[in-house]
Amino acid sequence: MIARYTRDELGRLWTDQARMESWRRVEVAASEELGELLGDGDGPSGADLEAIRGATFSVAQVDERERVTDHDLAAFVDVLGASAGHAGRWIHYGLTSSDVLDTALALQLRAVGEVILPGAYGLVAALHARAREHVGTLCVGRTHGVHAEPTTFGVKLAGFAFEAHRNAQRLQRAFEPVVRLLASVPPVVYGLIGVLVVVPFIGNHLISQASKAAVTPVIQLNGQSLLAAVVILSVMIAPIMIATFAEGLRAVPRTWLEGSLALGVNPWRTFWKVAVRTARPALIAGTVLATARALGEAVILAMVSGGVGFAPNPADGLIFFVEPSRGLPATILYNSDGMSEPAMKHTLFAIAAVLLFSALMLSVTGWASKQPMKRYFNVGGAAA
Amino acid sequence: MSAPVAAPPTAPGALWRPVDRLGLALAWAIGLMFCAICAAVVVFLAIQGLRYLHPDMIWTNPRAGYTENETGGILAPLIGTVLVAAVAMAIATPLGVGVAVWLSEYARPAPLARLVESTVEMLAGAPSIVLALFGLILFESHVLGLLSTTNAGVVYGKSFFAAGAMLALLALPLVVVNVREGLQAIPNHVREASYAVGKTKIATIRRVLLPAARPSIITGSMLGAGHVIGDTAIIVFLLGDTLTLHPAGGTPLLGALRGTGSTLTSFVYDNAPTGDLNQPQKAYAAAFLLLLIVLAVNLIVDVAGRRSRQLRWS
Repeated sequence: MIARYTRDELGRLWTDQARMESWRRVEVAASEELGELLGDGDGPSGADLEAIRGATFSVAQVDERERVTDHDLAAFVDVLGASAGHAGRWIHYGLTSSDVLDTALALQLRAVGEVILPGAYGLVAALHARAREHVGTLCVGRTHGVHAEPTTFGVKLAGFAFEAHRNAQRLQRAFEPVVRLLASVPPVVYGLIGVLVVVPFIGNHLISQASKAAVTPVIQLNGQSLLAAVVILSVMIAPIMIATFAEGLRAVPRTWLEGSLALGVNPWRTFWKVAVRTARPALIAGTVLATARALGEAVILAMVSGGVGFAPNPADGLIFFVEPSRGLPATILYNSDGMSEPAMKHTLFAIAAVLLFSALMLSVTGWASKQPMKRYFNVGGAAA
Repeated sequence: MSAPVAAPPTAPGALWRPVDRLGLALAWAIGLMFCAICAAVVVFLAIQGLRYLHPDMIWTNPRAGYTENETGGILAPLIGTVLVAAVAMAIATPLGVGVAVWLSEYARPAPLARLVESTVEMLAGAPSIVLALFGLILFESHVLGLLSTTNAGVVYGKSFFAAGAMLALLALPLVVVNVREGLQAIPNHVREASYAVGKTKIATIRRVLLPAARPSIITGSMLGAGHVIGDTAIIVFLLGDTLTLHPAGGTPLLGALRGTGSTLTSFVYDNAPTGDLNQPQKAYAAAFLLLLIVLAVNLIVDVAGRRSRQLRWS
């Protein structure tokens, strides 16, 4: 590091002292790992490790020794080993120079990242603020070195700000791994809430006594209904859809959105006309996959849509929504006791075959409709 | 260069049409409504659960009785949940890791690999009730009679083994997909470095690739376990759905695994007003506990994923 070209915070990380301190950390960590691998008898003992952790060095001592060894790391190991006393024989045991030098360099780079990353984001913020400030400052646009249409200085700065933001994110990705997770609520919990909250609500508030009385000879209306099933299933599959949608929207290249924003299109229109349109295959796939999930759901349907084999008739008018119905999966669940009867058994298997085939077709459709998104992933990867 | 001019009278911001404002407002409204629904479900369940879940319920078995005070606790379903999840994961994890390794590292012959791949995909899409029905036929066969209770030559086909095996099929795709992604994220130069120091392919997989993919193995199997714990249809069909554990034969663990029982999900299902027992308080308590367990499983994955040193290749 040439002193006049660097800042204190960074220069400090690249001094000989810092470099050797980084070596020391690697040597100590290697000895500790050796102790764990070989055990107390064969490897360094607890007391040895204590001595190794306490070992010290100074740059002057290492330079002095290097005149004899003609090798910087060997000199360092000698100095550190001498300071650890008898335990020093374990330092650098079984290692090569590159094992230590490369690892130590990575440690130094990581420390540097912690300094420059906030700086990179600071640059983004500063450019952003300046771009807003100069949003109306006139500026000559240029094309091929000739004056062209006038633009504003703010637009130029905004371009730099977006670029700096991408660079800062790229820098950040180099330094940290990410872990992500999805929680899933068991369907039976949705079913319970459906049957104890939604069903009584529909039964008591959405169906009039008159309409209940009108259909009593045919069917009982107590709130277990198509409507309850629709409400609960919607809540259940929404997270599945959202996860797929979000994945698709995130895959849309940032630069496309920035292009739209730079042309003065407002954020919502940008989202609607660019992001949603690009991610359309993912939206279709998410819908299809979530539908497949709802299609095969037996337990919720058995709990909230009523156990009677009754087909709601749309011709009845709005009451159709509050009439009970029993889906195919729920039918299997309800009649599981009757399996010993060959006729019932065959019926249930026929239902299962229909379900399996439909689910399969939906999966295939979902997979196929997602394929066009693949190329955007690549575009995004190259641009990021 | 002219002096900076003042901002024009109409600030050059983006144009917002009424339609755009409406769209943005709608998106916000739907988003907030969805958050509110989710929060309501969790809060409602927590309130009901805390009201009815007493510590002694966890230590007592369910009993037959006339009022909710007499019917005991949820010990048997709790043990059932743990047992069935353990059986399912003991099958699904090794099988899933094996399939994932083969798909990622060997995948020859190619047509067979494509077949296996689409089979796993299909398994992921298959409704659990279909798997349950299939499992019932499979485990009622005499060949597999040893795995469940047999009475006068009739194989019942309902046991922890049966339910666990079918639930393993449910968890398998999650394990395979996650492990495979983990393996594919390891760059080729790592494999080549291992070959260069003389390791065979199988040793490379065992000593280099699998340890490196450990976080994704944990993530996959825990996500699978979450799925297994939450499933109801297979339990109702294949676990017998009995009030308490009914071990078959005297051997302690083996007998229990061959016997029948219930889990928290089937307990909730039976105790809902639509079920055979209809005890809403018990159902709320069990559902709350179920939610806590699923949450805990997710937390474990999160912590394990963060703790395990994620290897970064460049």
